[in-house]
Amino acid sequence: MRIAPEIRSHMASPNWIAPKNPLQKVVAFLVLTVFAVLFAMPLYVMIVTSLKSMDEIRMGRIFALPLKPTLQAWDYAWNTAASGFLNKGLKSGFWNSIRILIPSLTMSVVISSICGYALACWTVKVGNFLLSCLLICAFIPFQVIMYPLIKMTSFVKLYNTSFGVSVVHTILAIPILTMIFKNFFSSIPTDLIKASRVDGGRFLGTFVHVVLPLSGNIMIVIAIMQITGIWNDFLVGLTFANVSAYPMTVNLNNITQTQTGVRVYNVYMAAAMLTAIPPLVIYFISGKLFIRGITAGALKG
Amino acid sequence: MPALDSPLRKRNGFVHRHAASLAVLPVLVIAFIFYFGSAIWSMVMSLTPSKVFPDMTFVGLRQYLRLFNDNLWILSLRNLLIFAVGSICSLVLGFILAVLLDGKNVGERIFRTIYLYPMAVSLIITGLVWKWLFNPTMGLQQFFRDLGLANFNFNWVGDKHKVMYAVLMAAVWQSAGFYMVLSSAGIKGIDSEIWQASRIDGISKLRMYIEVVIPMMKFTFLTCFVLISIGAVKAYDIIVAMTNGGPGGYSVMPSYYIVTMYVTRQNIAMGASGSTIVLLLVVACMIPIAVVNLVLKRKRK
Amino acid sequence: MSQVSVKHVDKVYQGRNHVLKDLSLEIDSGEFLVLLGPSGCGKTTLLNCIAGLLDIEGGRIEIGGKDVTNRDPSERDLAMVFQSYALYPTKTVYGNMAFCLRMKRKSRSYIDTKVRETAELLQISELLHRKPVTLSGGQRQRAAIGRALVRDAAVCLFDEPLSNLDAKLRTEMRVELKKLHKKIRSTFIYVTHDQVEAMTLATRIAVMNEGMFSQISTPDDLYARPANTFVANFIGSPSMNFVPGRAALHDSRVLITTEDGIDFDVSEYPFAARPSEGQKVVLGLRPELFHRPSPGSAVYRMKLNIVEPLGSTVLCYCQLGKTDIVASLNPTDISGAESDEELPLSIDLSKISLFDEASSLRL
Repeated sequence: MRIAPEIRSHMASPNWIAPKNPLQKVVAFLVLTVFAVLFAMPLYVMIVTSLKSMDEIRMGRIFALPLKPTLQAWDYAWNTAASGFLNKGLKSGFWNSIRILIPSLTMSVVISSICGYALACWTVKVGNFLLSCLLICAFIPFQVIMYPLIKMTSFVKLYNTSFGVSVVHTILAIPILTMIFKNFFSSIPTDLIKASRVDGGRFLGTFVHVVLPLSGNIMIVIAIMQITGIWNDFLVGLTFANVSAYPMTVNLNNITQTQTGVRVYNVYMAAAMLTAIPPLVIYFISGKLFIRGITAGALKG
Repeated sequence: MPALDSPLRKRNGFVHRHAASLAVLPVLVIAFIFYFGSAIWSMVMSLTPSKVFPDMTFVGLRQYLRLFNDNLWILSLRNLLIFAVGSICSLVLGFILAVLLDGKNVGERIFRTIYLYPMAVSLIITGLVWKWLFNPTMGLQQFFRDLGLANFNFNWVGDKHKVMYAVLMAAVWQSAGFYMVLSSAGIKGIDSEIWQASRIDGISKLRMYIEVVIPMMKFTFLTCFVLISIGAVKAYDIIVAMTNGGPGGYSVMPSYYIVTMYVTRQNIAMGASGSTIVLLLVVACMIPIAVVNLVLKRKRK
Repeated sequence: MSQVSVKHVDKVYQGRNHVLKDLSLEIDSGEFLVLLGPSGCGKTTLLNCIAGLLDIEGGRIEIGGKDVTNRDPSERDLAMVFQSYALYPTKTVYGNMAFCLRMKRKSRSYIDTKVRETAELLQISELLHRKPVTLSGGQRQRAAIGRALVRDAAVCLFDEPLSNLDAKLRTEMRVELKKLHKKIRSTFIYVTHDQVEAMTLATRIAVMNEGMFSQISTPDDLYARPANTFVANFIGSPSMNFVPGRAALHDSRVLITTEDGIDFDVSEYPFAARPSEGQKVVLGLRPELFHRPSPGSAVYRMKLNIVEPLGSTVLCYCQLGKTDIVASLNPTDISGAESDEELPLSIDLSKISLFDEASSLRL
């Protein structure tokens, strides 16, 4: 039975459940607001603390707005904070993170998308076996493979380099990404692929001309997932990079864990904000796609 | 979906004939060498007395004995349990938020954005901010004391009996939004006619959630439990940023312990045995899902 | 006092979409009333308004004499069977049927008796311990009906319950539903777009079009005396043939003349109001009114285009002048006729319908 779309969506919402109960709605709204405040609170504190001077902070009023907001802490964190043995501030970490991110993103997407495409659209003898293996790999914790990875990367002289970090990120991403790509490409109608082959396309040709143009959405979702994951990573960067190639998160941790000297919380918060801003910006811009990204990663289990 | 064979015969070269298999090869190699190979290496190493360098003498389960005699390891297992069980709060909170947000209420998008943004941020930052919030002289404790509660104690990070709860609070803040998204997806999958039927039958909303919605979401919840367990096993960054395992090792978790063994204490065998135990734990968590999957497959036939 | 009263009900979606327009309907106790109409006519909307699942913007709804317009669905003494059954998937059939009674805090023994009685009535007693996913479509349908009937509600609403079943099952279930209604004698309000279902099940049919009632009457009445061209066309398969023409009055005789100059003597027609001279009318001729020319009746020369043999009848697609006609004839009547040939037929003029062209209403 044909029902107009706006009517069907109206019917679908369980507002049908209690349309005559405004009290329930008000209570729900209040509870949601309370939680929203609790969730937003740490971000608020981060921003506010980063804009205060240390004297103000020592007064202990953590929720108070800064009396004289200043970006001094931000400047210090970016340019001169001690991170490791270098006093170059977070900005070196920022560029390192980007240097790590781009090769990781490219390599992981290229390798897993082509493999996923092969598994989804072509017959591969060990295809199903590989998929089961990948499922298992996705659950193997990093710590289990960490040390052998260190040994192997140092064997090929990639240990302690920025590119080495990218390689490790790629290795870690491939099981899940391949499964996601395979699932997505499986939904492409076989007829399209058959048509392409009849027209003379071969393996890569069909991939580039038929499959990729249809993959805009999944690529964005994967990109968001990977960028957020790699940017926010700490352990891989710490283990596999040398000091001058540390990503931003490692720099951040080093800045905040200095045992010597005064603890400058405004600088720590400013540094945290600087590290958090790129993924937060991506989050606020991408909205629904972000959600799809994290659920894609999660639901493959 | 029927996959396609490659009847690309004589006029095409080796590469084209086997293009799909070649595409799959890198992933296969990665899975076997870096994942399975590493896992096996770890397990082998755990049976040796290797310290800074691998030593291939076979010493049986001696390392495991040493492992379980190490108080720090036992502590880490205890904390793993606390963390995993406590993370269930994250799921509960996420589910409640999903329920409250169900239906076209005011500001639904804004609320969702607020609950989910912590996921976009690195765990290092999460740990850092919450450590700051728990600061005894300038954080929340001071805030409540200023309000008049003279002996309010919120210095959980410094209290060895309460530190894990502090970590849990940070972890719940970070992940509740994620479980909200998964729960929302599960709730939305329930046919609107079922809600209508419940209105006709006069069944209260609460009853519906308890007797119909939650049972219908069994698979979603199972997935969440698995993700919670894996998250607990992986928890490293947040410990580093928030407590560094302190005070006195009371917030050490298995992954932290293992990394410390490998990197700081330079004891390969202990690190490897810890990794193997963790791997076994993960396998144990995977078993319920595998069992459920097999049962479902059989039912469908 | 009627069981269900719909009084001047208006339903407007989002301030713009006027879906139900001033509808009024009285349904008596024990009736099997079918709301029939094409997709989008508002029949399911009306059903949902009666159920209380949708609010109305104007008018009143009374059930059992009480004004229930502002009451929740659960307070209206109704039960409902949904198109996709809406069975609670994690409960057994027994659990589904018992759920509502448990909410009403009935005793265990009462619930047990009631559920088993109803299951017996619907022949699903062996299915009580099974979950919906293990049942076939027809079994789920019965379970859904069981869930509705177990409540002993005064009124039972059906929202296209048979549309998800295959053709054969649908016919079987139709008979079952009719038997059920006879047995339990509650009021059924049933929505469908299938006129065969409506004609076979209903005690009365309310034909709806674009949010308004086109005609409310018994199936026979709707078939033989449709009130307007919409109903005439909607009911009956194959549908009624429409021949446009003009009325011509000669003393006591009334003739309808088509563009091609073909005359129909409709003097015997029971006019509600005699047509005026030259009035544009539409002649409604059901396919089965055509037969082999009999002595004394007018013969019309049709040009035969295509013949569709259906076994017991033969559908003939012909032309009368410029108008396309579908005639349903006995195989013997048509033997020997060839395509593109002339086929002389007579029409049983006592059963025709006449409509005013401008208003589409029956004359």
